[in-house]
Amino acid sequence: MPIIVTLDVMLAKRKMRSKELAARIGITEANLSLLKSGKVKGVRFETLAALCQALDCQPADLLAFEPEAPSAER
Amino acid sequence: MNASERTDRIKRISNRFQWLIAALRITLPLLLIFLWATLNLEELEVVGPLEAYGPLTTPERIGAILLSVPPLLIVLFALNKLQHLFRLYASGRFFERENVDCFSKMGWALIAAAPMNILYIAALSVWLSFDQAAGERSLSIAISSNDIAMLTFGAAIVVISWVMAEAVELSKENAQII
Repeated sequence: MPIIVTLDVMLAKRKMRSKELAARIGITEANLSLLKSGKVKGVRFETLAALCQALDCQPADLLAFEPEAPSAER
Repeated sequence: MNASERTDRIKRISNRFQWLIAALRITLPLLLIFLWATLNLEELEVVGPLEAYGPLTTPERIGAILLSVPPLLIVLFALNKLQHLFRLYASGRFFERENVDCFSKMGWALIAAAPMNILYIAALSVWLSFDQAAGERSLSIAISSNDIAMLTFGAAIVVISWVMAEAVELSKENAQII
């Protein structure tokens, strides 16, 4: 997946624990952990807005696009 | 009413239905025995398009109860699946593979119940006229509107189970969106 979740970087910048963030935005720690590790298929706008609100940042601060290297063709 | 309250209401009502169906599963066989034990000749049409030949004897009544077992088992199987479905709902499991299986098996049971009922009436007609003289015995084969309704209803439930299977996939995918 070329979309990278950089939530852990923002958490470190804000010096906030995952537990506190989960409580603030109203999702479970398990789901926040999945989100941090990028093991999800998508993020709801509602969750994204709550994250931006809690961390005082922009969506671009939480997500990054890293194009995958094209597969080698003969 | 918020989502949690709605879910709680579904769980509560499903739990009640689960017990209701459990009671029905016990009552139905007893009702069937009671019916054949006390049935008068004039009331035979309650069961189906059957001809009466004198008062029902004890062996005829016992035979009729035994012949009623296969269709009864199909109905009990469908009720068992329905109870299982409500038990799943009562435990907050709405969109899982197990729910789809319950729907599917219940649908197929209803589809099977229609031809089984036709065979049941045919077998009963033979059994109740068995002690008549040769040439006076009968075999009734009848398709009632109830059989057609059962078949249609069963087919509809099977189709619903296919739609439910799609809903399960959507639910799984939705669970991966935070």
